[in-house]
Amino acid sequence: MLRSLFIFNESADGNTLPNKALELNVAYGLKPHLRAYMHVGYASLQGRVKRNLDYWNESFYTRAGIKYAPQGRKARFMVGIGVIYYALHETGKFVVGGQYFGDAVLFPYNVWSTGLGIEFPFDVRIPLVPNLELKFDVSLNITFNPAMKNVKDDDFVRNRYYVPGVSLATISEDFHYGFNLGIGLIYRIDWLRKK
Amino acid sequence: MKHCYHLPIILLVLFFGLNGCRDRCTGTTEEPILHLSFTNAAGSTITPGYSRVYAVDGNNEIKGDIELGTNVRSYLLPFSTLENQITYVFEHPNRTNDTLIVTYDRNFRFDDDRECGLGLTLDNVIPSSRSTFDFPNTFGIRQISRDRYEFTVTF
Repeated sequence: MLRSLFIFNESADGNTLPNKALELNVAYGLKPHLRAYMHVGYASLQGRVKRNLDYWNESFYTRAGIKYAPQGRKARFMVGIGVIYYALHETGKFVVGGQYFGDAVLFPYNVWSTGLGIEFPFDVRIPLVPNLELKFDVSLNITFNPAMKNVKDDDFVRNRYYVPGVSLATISEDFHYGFNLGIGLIYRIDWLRKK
Repeated sequence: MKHCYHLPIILLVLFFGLNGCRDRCTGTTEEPILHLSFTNAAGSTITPGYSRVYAVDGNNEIKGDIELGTNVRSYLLPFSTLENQITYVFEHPNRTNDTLIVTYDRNFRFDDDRECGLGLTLDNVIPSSRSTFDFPNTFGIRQISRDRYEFTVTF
């Protein structure tokens, strides 16, 4: 399933710059009650905060684990456990100037950081029509990113980072408790069904 | 006696409302502006009659023309945020060109208000003696607001 993600990036002064986020979501049934899953996503965000601090960032994440379906292959509810990893790159830019002489541009930071954690996903599937289901995948996670230590008190960088696909809330601490919600449509192809 | 219970509330709302309108950032993110006006020996403001005014940057690149406002008698001259000196050239149809050279120190500072981010302030804004204007009777360049400066040349 390829889907677009909603963007909740922080931006002041009416950000008109483009944002994008994509996710590839793959699930494979190991056994009738066990399903392996992997979500891989990429996002790039731009915006302006603190009056004149522009930022451009890109993030990559992967979530992988196993889900247990108590009712078997066509279960409407699943619970699981997995690992989560993300890499975040961001460049900040202060712009001071005007149209006559041009801008003085300062790049105060260019940071790369990675986060690692564990997640607990819960899936709820609601059948709509035969082979078509509405899927809500909720997950709770805790991630650790050492570069985020004291970032919320740092005047020189942006104080909160939104990493699409990792958490709906922005990350500002080295240990972050995250909440994720994915909403999608699933079309089930019964490859093994006998004619 | 009729009590006016609402008056303190109205005054409080006005106080906080006016405070909210004020930009608390101490530095600017725009090009500061120099208001340049001209007076005669009697102190009256005059129109200097220049046909063209423009700036030259440190790379000797001539920037765009700066127009004299139709209803005002001062030029609005932008400061460069890229350099610590700027040269303005004033072309006159009947005599040699005048130049005004202004030097200053650019300071990029973080504001006390975190949301203000980085701002620019100019220190030591002074007209250079290499300018063709004479400054015997002037008080120098005066800062009138965060990013506005005022200077008067007397002919």
